[in-house]
Amino acid sequence: MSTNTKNTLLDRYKKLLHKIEYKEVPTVIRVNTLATTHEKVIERLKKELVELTKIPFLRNGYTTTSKRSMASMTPYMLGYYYIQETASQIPVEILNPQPGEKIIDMCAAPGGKTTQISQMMKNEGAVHAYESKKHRIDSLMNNIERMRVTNAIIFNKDVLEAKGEYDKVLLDAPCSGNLASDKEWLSKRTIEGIKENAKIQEKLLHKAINLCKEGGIVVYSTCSLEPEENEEVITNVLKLRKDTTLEDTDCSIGSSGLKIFDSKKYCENIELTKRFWPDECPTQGFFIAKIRKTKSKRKEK
Amino acid sequence: MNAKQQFLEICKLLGAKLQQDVSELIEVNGRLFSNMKEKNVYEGKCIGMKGRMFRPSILTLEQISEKTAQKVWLNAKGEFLFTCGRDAWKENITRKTAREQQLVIVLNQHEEPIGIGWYRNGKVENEYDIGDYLRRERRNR
Repeated sequence: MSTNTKNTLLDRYKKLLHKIEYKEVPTVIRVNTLATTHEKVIERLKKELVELTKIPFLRNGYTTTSKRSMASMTPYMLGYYYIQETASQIPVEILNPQPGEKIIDMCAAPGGKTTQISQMMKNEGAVHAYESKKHRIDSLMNNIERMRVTNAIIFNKDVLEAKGEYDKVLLDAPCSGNLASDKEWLSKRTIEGIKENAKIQEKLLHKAINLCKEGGIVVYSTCSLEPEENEEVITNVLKLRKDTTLEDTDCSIGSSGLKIFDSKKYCENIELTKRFWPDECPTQGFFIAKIRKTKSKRKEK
Repeated sequence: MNAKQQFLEICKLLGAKLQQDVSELIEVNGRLFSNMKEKNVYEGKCIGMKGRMFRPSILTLEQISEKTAQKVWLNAKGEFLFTCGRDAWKENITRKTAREQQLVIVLNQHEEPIGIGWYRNGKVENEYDIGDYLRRERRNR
């Protein structure tokens, strides 16, 4: 059964003219400007024999050359940087948090994006980090503490219970993942499982839009390449709402979201969303959509 | 002792006077916070955690380090041992501004505070070190 799914998935990528296989992505760090400066981290890591190369389209991202684990060095413990893959640094860049704003990170653990949001806010304003799974709260707390974040509140509860109105909303949705983390990934996935994820993602995206103020921004992202979890989620949710519009991500890498897949036509402006195909981008697989909330509906339903 | 008392204890033992209004500190599950408005699992600035002795956050460790004269500096070997939770030996110490039996802030060769220890018999006995950020997660996994 699993071989069937594996071939199904590979065939789907092939139809979209992509060949997806496991690839090693370099270790990428995000320099924590709440703790130090780019120059100091470059100098400091030189002493650990680590060379950093700036990633041009990221504000604080660098690829590293190191035979030692970047997570075992003193500068890591001091919170000078966070280990965060290239693509997963992009959603917060697109969200573009500003000091003083009120922002919600809906699925926060282990805190890579939460700490990135606080960093861009210069610790001014508030970021609300939701995480329902108790066993993931510890890593979230430790990373927030290590990264010197002082404007975060962690809520250990289901984000569907969240209340309030936010300037910006980040929904880095739980998804079926991709090959970057696991060589055996293809044989562990089923189309049914992917569709199950999509149902949850749709529910979360509706909630994200409800939590966003009029004129605010929702960024939706997954590390999945499956259209069901990406373009289809966006299409299904946005066609039910009159208070949203897709916006250009202004991101210089990646390709447009799919307009059509398996004879399913996706919503208007879907090409403004971004897909990061690992066979053409220096990243893992990823999908990002930027949604503007245009006007609030007075009543739900 | 609760976390706040432990925090005051290490500040006193290190002779560090911090500009911190202690009355506004709130403890939640052994973690001490300032700027906490409502009782959440985590909010605002984490001062540190309750332990055998207080385990300061990196922000607090740096603040104490600026306010104390009781310090010991370690070489790279000593830094490695210490951040693995071990004691540092006499030969690992490159400089000290502390007397025997004092609690000290431990620094590496880059002037970065890496923990707290007891300076005893020429050695530094590990009381807390920032390698805990890595070990905590392994412990809790």
